[in-house]
Amino acid sequence: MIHRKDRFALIILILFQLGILWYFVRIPTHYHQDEFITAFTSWTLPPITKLDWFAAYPPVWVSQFPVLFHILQKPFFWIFGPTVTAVRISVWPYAIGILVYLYFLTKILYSRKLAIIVGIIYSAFAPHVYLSSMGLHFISSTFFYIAALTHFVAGQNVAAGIFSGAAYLTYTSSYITYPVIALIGIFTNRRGLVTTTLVALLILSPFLVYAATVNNFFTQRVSQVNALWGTWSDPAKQQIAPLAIIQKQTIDAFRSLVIPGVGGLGGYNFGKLGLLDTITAVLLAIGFIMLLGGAVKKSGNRIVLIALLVPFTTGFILTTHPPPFHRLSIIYPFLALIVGLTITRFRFVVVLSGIVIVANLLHTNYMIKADANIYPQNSRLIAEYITQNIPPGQPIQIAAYPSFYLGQELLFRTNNHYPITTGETGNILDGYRGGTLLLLNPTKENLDKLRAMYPNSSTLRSIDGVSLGDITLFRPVKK
Amino acid sequence: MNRSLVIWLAVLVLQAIVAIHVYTRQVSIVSLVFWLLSIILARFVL
Repeated sequence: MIHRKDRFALIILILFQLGILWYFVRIPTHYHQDEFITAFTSWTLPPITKLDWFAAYPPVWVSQFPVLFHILQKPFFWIFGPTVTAVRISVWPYAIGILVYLYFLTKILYSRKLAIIVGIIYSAFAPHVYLSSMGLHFISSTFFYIAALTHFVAGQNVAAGIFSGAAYLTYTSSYITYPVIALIGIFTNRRGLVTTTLVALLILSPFLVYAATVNNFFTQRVSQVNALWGTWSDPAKQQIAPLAIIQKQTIDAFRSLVIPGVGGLGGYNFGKLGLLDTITAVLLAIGFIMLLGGAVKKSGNRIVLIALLVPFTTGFILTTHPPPFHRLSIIYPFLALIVGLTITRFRFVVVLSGIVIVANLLHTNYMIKADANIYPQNSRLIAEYITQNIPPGQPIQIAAYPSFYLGQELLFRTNNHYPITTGETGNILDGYRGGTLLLLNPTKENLDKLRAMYPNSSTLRSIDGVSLGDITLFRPVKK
Repeated sequence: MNRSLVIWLAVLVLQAIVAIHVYTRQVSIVSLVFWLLSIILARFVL
């Protein structure tokens, strides 16, 4: 039973969190194409009676993940329709869950007062707000990680096992959950660890059978992104010595926390700024030293250190370069916790918390504003053009290759008001009988053919002065 | 027989059914139901 004081504090924290997320969700230039690829997988998931429950999806992407996230995302599209807002709101239950677990974990390890401060700081914590205001599945990894840890620390071993198992049914960053729990359990709760292990195995067993017999998605992502022998790792391909890779990546990992231009990978640019603003970074550094200093006496400090440092090493230092801020997301709550620990050591807790919140919200804003000039905005502009100039129901064709992301993104950006077909360029052009056509890197020959067929056509390579990049928009009639 | 042991055996049987389904690619909602049942039953044993 949740105490009345906790319930009240949590309601306020959740409202504060959702208010902040709602503000940043509505900034149109803030997006990532992975949001829509993920959402499209959920949208097109087979009916529950035909679904391969223990398989990995989507079959056409570079990486596959179990269906859990998609199953839980799909109902949001039934309720809100396939919209950009629905994509973003679909991750809010995880954001709320993380906040609740962070609150209780902090309360168990330290105090209610610190739990409230940490909850407030985390709600505004710039890296978290930046990432969680998009509909990405990294947030589910953070949720399962902190949920498993909190239940384990609270002695609820079965629940810890369920969440430990679930941590392997989402993004790879939470694969570290069980090793972290095992490390904590060996020193604090060996009997509980046995129960947690058995339940986690029970959860995972059918997925392990699938992985062993059909497609081993558990090791797929790791073998792509790990720094030492991963197929996506440039230093590994250049056969640079492992020690040299680790040394460079460790230095860069720490530098990227404050120095602009070091971190951010795969379009998760965070404005190409440091992950943290200066004030938060200083408080974090002080808190980390305090945490280390008290680690011998306080078991809470040891647990936080393990929960922080193990994923920092495996997910941030030992994966592909430059430092991937998005893979660090499972420890964002712990970074906020350490900042909170520092703040409570000072006199003016309320004033200092206020300064940290403002600094983080400003930093989020700077990152998102900077992203507008870094991240390609072509798909957003194309969607705006379509909704403003083309009547709903008119077909849109995309000549690229079947799994090209643009159609998946346009489905959500146009609220599924247009029938969109994506296919191989040759096939689409062969069957083209008019209508709006989007071409990926079209050849001059293909464009000339289209113009010869439709002399009154219009071809757009930019909208409102912004380049469409590798996309060309063709309409058989003048605008 | 010990009640916990009976439940534990039931858990194992259900898990085996799910495993065979997955192995033979006859994955369906039936295997999902068995899987969920085995997790619920495990709560009573552990």
